[in-house]
This record gives sequence, C-alpha cells and structure tokens, in this order.
Amino acid sequence: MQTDLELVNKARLGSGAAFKELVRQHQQIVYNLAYDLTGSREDAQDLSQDVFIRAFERLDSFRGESRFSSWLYRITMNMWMNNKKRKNFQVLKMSDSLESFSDNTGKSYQPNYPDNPEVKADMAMINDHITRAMTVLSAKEKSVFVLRQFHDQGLDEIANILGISLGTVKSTLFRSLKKMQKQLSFLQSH
Amino acid sequence: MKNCHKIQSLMIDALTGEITAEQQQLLNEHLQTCASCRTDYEHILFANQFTRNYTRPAVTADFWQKSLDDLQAALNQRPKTRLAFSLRFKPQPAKISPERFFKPIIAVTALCIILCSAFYHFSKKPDQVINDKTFTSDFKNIQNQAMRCLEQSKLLLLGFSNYDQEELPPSPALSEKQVQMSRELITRVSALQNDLDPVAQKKLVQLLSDLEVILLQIANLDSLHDTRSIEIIQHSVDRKSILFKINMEELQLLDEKLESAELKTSKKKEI
Repeated sequence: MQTDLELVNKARLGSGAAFKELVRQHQQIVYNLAYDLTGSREDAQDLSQDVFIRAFERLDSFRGESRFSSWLYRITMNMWMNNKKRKNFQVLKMSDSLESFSDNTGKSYQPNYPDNPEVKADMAMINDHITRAMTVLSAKEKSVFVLRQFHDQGLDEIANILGISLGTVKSTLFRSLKKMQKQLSFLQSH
Repeated sequence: MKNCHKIQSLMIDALTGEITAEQQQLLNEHLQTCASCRTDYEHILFANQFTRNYTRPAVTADFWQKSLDDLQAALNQRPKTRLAFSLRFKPQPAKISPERFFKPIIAVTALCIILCSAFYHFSKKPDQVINDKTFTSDFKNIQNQAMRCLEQSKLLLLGFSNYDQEELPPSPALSEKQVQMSRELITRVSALQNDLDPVAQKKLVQLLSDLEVILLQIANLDSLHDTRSIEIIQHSVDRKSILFKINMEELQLLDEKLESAELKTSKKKEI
C-alpha cells in the first residue's frame, strides 16, 4: 500500500488515479469534520467537495511536514471559517438528527441508528442535546472541541492543525468543556 | 488559588491521558484543598464523558462513491489544468495540445483577477484611505480599520499563497503593485498596533505583528523572478497559519460589531 506522500507525489506529476486514491482514503474524515462543524448533511457535502477541490489546486504546497490528514483538516477549518462569514450557515438542523432526509436522487432514507426504537430515540436525543449545546461555542472553541472530542486528535496535533500554541489549545478546550457542561447541566443529575 | 490556572492545564492533561505520575499527584493534592477546582474538574469530566456519546447519522454504502463521482464531475468542469485532464474518465486524444492554449489563458485570467481585486479594494473608498491622523481612540473606528486591514492583507496573501510559478509567468508590473500594497499595509498595521490595547486585544496585536513580518518580506521582494523569496513568503504564510488566524479575528470582530449593533437596536426600542 502506498503512503500519502507517495500518492501526493504521483498526483503532482499528473496521476489522476493517485489523487482519486487520496480522496477515497480521506473523504470520510473530511466529510465527518465538515458535518460536525456545519451540523448539516447538505452543507457538509458541499464543504467537503470544496475542500478536495482546494486541496487539488494547492497540492504543490503540501510539503509532507505534517500528515496529509492534518493538512486536509486545516483546509476544512479555513474553508468553514470563510463560508461561515459569507453566508449564514444553518448550524442546527434538526432534520438530520431526528427526521428522515433525502439525497439528490430523491431517495429518502433514515439515519442508520440501531433497530431498537428506545436506543434509537436515546441516541437521537443525545445528539440533539450535544448539537444544541455546541451553538454557544465560539468558532475557535468549536474547532478545538470538535477535533478533540469527535476526531480524537491529540493536543499537539490540534495545535499544529490550527496553528496555535499548546497552551491555547488547553485553555480553549477547558473553556469549551465548561461551556458545554453549563448547557448540559440539566442532564447531570439524571 | 494562584496555581489554579496551571491546574486547569493539568486537568486537560489528565483528561487526555497526557499526564505524568508527578503531575497527577500535584493535581490530586490541589483538588483536595481547592473546592472551586474540584467543581470545575467534575464539570469538565461530565462534559467530556457525555459528549463522547455523540454519533453521526450513518450514510448509505454508495454515498462515498457518489461523492467521489460528484467531485470528479466538478473537477472536470474546471479550467483544464494538467491534473484535471488526467482525472477525466475517458480522456479523448486532443487534436490540439490543450496546454498550449489554456496555460496562457489561465495565467492572464489569474493576473487580471489579482490586479482587479487589488485596484477595487484601493479605489473603492478613496476617502477612507487611512493615514496616521485618522486613527482616533474611537474603538469602533479602530475595529473597522482593523477589519479592512485584515481583509486587504488576506487578499494580498492569498495572491501569494495561490501563486504557482509554473503556471504564471513572472510579471514585474504585478510585483510592483503587490510591493506597493504591502508597503501601505505595513504603515497601517504599525499604526493599528499602537492604537490597540495590548492586553485586551492581545491576540489581534500578535496577529498584526506576525502579519507585519510577512508584509515586510513582500515589500523587500525585488521581482516575481525571485522564486526563492516567494517560496519563503508562501512558507511563512503556511507555517504561521496567518490566513486561518485572520479568519478567526475577522469573525471575532464581526461578532463584536453585531453585538454592539444589537445593543443599539434594543436601546432604541426601549426609548
């Protein structure tokens, strides 16, 4: 199996297959991050497509000093910030967590929660609480929080992706967790 | 109590498992004596544990293939660069070499876009061109100036960041315009740094200081033939995540602006 850097080098030389392989290997993490940031399936699809187009255009600037996934994370964060400024991203879309949605083909389907209705309802409820609570976070807090909590990135890696110091990552994460607790405190006693 | 700030950092280390035995002991001892930190620690432990239950709605099996197909379609619709051509599913043998025609067109278009955006931003509101005298202590005014300054710096840096030496022919005229723009921005950035509160707006001041260094590199650029210097500038922009930080600050300034606008509206309504 080829490494990311080998694939990038081939793609730079004009190999479409290599670039496709890079997309195939990373499209899930990019889409997931885009979904966590935008809270909407439709926006996440648009954002992740924009990210790969941008990555395609800027492939020459990837020097292999960081992981390719970190580089993509950084592009995603930047593009999300730009989009956030340009238009009012619909941060909270209940339809994605509780209702069915349909794709471009018009085919309607349900989120793939377990069959047990109680478990399904619980999971949807938890997601709903978390998504709502996240709306109080600033863009920077949300970036750090999402990378740590949902993408399991180490503190050093987050500092590298966002271009901020380790101390800032820690204080931002501390602040965001406190804010989240405040929003979710009504569940703490249950 | 004075150690509480350090303890917060240790709490995060403990939460992520990146803590030594000594640090853990220090944390435990502090938590035994400081009720406030104990509460904070319980709170963040709860938030950490609860938010780990977050799940995303699963997607169908064909979702990823469809996304890949959409991406390919989007790339194929773009101006035909070397790589975009090779991404086509069934490339037809070109009768005329596409590179021969497209490369100059792409180069000229990109040059026009950069020059037009630079001209637009400088000629849009000539009465608002900033000099030292216009800097007042008025917070709102400084905020607006900072936003404009960041936006224009971003445009300039984006031009450099996207500049591809293989695609664009070096142009002395382009270089001259960018150098001139960077010189003007340096004056404004330095003036802004003096006007800002170094404590309350520490991050913005730091960003402006980083920006100033890069602008100086651009101002000292001899020509776009100086490929090594351009690489250094591109590397500085990447390494310091300047564009990301500008985005962050712009959002922050926008939020502050919106908040003050909302306050104004609510006061008017009260009256």
